[in-house]
Amino acid sequence: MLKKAVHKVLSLLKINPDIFRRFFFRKRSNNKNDIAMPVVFVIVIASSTSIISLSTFELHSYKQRINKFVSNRWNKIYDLYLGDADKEGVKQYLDSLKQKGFLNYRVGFQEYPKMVTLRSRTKKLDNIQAYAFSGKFDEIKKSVDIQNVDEKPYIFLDTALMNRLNVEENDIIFLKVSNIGGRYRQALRVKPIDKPTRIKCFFFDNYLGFSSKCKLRYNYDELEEGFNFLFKDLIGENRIPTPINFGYGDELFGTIKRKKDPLSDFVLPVSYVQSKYNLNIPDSLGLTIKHSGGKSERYNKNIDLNHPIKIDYHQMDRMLTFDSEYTLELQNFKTESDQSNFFIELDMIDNFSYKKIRNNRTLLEKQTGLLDYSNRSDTVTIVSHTDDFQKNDTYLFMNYNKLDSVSLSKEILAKLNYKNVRWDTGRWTTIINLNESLKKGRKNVRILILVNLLIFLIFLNIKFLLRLKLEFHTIGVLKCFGFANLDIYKVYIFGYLIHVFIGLILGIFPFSYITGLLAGHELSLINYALMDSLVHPFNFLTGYGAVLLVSTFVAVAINLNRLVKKSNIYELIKYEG
Amino acid sequence: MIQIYFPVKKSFREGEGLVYEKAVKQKNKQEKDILELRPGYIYYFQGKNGIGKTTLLNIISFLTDFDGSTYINGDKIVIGQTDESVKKTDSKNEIRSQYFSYIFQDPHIINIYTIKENLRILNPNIDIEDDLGFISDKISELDIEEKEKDYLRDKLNKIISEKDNSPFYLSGGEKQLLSFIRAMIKPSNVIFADEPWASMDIMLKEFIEEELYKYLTNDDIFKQIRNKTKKNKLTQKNTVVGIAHKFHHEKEDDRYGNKDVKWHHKISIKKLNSRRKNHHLNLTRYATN
Repeated sequence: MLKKAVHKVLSLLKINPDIFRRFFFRKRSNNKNDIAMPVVFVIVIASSTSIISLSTFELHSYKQRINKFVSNRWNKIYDLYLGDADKEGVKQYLDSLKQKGFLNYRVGFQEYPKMVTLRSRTKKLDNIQAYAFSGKFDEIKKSVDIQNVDEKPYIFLDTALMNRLNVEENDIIFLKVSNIGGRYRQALRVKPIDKPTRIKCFFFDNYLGFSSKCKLRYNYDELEEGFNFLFKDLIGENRIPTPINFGYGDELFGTIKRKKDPLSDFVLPVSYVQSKYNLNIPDSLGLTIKHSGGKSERYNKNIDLNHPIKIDYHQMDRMLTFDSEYTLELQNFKTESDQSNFFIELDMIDNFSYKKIRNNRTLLEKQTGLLDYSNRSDTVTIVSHTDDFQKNDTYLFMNYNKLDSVSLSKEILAKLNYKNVRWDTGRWTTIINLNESLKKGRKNVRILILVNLLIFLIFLNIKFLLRLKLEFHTIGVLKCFGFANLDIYKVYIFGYLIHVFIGLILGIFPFSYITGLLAGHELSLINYALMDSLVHPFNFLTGYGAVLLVSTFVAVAINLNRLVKKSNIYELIKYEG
Repeated sequence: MIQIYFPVKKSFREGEGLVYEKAVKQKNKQEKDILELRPGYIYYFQGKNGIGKTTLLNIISFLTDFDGSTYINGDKIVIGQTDESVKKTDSKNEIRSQYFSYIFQDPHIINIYTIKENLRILNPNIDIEDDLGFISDKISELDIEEKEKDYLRDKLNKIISEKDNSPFYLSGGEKQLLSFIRAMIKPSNVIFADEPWASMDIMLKEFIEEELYKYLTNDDIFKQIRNKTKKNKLTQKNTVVGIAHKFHHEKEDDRYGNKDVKWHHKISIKKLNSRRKNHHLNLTRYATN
């Protein structure tokens, strides 16, 4: 099949197949074909190709790192601290760049980043650098592809941090500022950061502000379970200080309070209400509730207390005694049509104040215990009220668009450093270095190609000088019997081009793979770089191949013209031996 | 016919080569300057060693350029009876390819090719086993002794059996025989034979002489192989131009005795380094019946 195809091609090119075959495989005196010459030649080409490949792998490695860096949109965002800088000067300079569309910047906030303590059910991590961003920071939201989450109490953690905290997506964690002891101020729901960022922990909106509030609502489909949680866990075993709200849907049903809020005793409110007011079990009733201050209020609305009243908490009654310090405040009443879930609500701040639990350790244990309850309830809602950000022009958030411009990046680096701005110059320098390495690498490959080409041409010329001397006789005899110069040109040029072509192919596989792997490049990078070479015609490797083929063509033609086109054929024939 | 206008005006190789002087300088006697090599004749140059026989043959056969003028068709060089077919635009290479064949003093077989390839490159249609087998059979019809026939058949059979091998280990005589076969199977009108029987034994010499003579009228045993190619039509009569010091037949038999044998030319040449002394080169012509 291959033989037929080769003969077909040779026939089209009007090349004598015998002469062509012997160009590659000269017959030796021992009747074996001499394959050493073509093999050595091909190996030289393949080796030279693999050297170029190796350099292109380096380039691709740089490119890959640059792409990785640029594709990470966080790397376009830099927070500048202008504490010791000429603020107006910096802003003027940034404004000039902003007008040219090179960057954008916004005034930042004083408090962030902050070192926070994160608490999951099983783990606690101190001093994690967390950023709080305003939902209005579009660049930042775009950079992590997060839209419309500014109202939700999410905390974004990178996967390593999630693993360390032993949490999964949607788990709840508590956090507080690290250098401030005591209770956790905020509960947030975990979301993974699946885009590459250098920031490991952030949330939108100021959940750690001075006046930010956070409440946990435990939702129950079954009222009985809800009350079990309320009376048994919160008031019973764990003795969480009051007030504890409960209700349906978004409506607050009631609040359990204790005047002094001791940890010891509690009241079973429904029993209390039942016994105190000697209530039957009606479908609906009017209720008068006496407040702890002695003031009574009359609620005239109908309520459905079937469920709570039916619950038998006698066992707990036996454990605990009634204390008049407790009061039950019923604020709203559930109607029959309301299908909302029953919830029990606790405040992260109010329920865990030092006034109520003086022992810090106990306080934290009880607060952390709430994380366990989140697993037992059907759902948990975090009701948060964020604090307003305090803008402060000492902090700037800069969004930079020209990471590929080495000169501009260097200029900005020099300028901001000169103006005494504190910022992440290491990250900024990384991209400058990578781009400069790429530029330098490209230059090196060009030089390498030229040097390689020069060496190859010298090698080719030496080979010509040696081999053509050997073949003067053959060429002379062929010419003597009427083979035209063109016939000989075709054999030599086509033959050498095939040599080079095979050398290039072998140079790519396996030579380039071997050298690439030996140099420590990953197989995926090698594959990508070589595929890129084949796809893009002006790539270094394909360019080198093309230059090599053209050079071979020219060099062979020139050498043949110089050596073969001798007018004295008899002189060639006499070269025998 | 081959008409060669010579000698030349300039030296062949300035400072070291040979200079062919005009035999007759007068323009009105220009016809004497034309060396006519007619179809149906064997021409042999004879002369002392180093006198320039091979160089002259090479010039005539377009293997060596010289500083003088060579012209094709209508001017000074005409190729035998095929002169009509030779176009002015035909290059020397094309003339070599279509009309000429060569046997050298040394075999000049290409050692990096196989024996088969050495023959096939000149006649792609040749089938070594069949065609040389046919020649081997034809040898039986030759008017020579039986032991000579056996000897010739042995030599041919050796070439056939070694066809896929390099000719490297053939003996000098066998290589020369292969060189002779190569020249004979190539379609041609003129064979240039520079002492073709060098290093051959007496039996091979006789065989070659006989076949070259028959070649003049296309009666040689290689005619059928030559005919296999459509490259060139065989003409009725061919020419052989060669070099020979002394012919085998002159000494031992009278093979050409009944043919037209005469001195045709006496060419005056001189070497640059010995200007005062003229050397003479004889051209002998043997004609067909």
